[in-house]
Amino acid sequence: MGIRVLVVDDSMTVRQQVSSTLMAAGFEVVEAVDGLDAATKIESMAGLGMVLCDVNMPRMNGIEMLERVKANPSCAGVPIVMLTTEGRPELIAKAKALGAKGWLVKPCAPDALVATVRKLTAAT
Amino acid sequence: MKSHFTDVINRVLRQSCEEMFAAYGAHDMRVSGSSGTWSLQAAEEKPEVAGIAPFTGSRMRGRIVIASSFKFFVRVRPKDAKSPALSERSSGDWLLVRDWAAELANQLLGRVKNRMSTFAIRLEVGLPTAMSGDSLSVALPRADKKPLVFSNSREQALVWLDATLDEDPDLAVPKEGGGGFAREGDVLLF
Repeated sequence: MGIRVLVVDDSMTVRQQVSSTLMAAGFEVVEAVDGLDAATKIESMAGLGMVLCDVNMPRMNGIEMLERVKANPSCAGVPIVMLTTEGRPELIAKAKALGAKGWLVKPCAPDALVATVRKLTAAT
Repeated sequence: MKSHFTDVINRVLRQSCEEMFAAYGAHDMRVSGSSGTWSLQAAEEKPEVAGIAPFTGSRMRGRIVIASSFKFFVRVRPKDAKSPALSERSSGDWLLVRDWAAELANQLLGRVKNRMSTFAIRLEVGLPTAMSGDSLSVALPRADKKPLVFSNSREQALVWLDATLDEDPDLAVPKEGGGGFAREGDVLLF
């Protein structure tokens, strides 16, 4: 069984594309449809290697999810990387300050995506 | 009199769309027609699906719309090796195509937003949606709107900005200290 990665995006197509890419690279993938779904899964799931998360989502956005998870000692150590169309420097700085490990701007090349996940899951 | 800022917006929209189409394999889609005039009544190929991405800002607010056929959205949709080819006969596949149209509008708005930062214009994006079928008519451009009409020999895609703009000519001038946004494909590790 490969390292488990949680893919969070309100777009089915993005979830399918990212999941397919990561599974082909040997990772196990779990999906969440928005920040609230993701936070609930992160807080309850054992053995999670990393999270890839969109920013603009309904119910709870990616930054709100990041803040909630990093405030929870039971799961604060899980690496979280944002995968988003957003490029605002102040938003990137905020994510970094909250403990995100990276920021990928869509569309992200599959090899760059896999390299990022491999790097961050190897470090934990 | 045509506003310089409107010219800037249209240029940014066109460039962003060309780059986005190219990123998803549609390098052959080019803006056709001298002014991109289009009417539903005269259209040879009527759009079937539209992706809509709303935005707000202090100087402009509205939505970006991209509308085309089921087949075009399937062509530019990222291929999943495990998924069978999408079919217009499948209601489930229409959901996937609508989802992708919304995401495409979202990504187009992201590109436009990042480029508008050069002019010190900040946009807040809303959640994208999609329309198809009878509801699509409310999303199509009004008679006073001239969409960008991208086409090749077989397909056509309409892209337009349905927005209210502050027509201040000063907005058309790039600002010192503007920009600095991360761009498409950037990988930033902290």
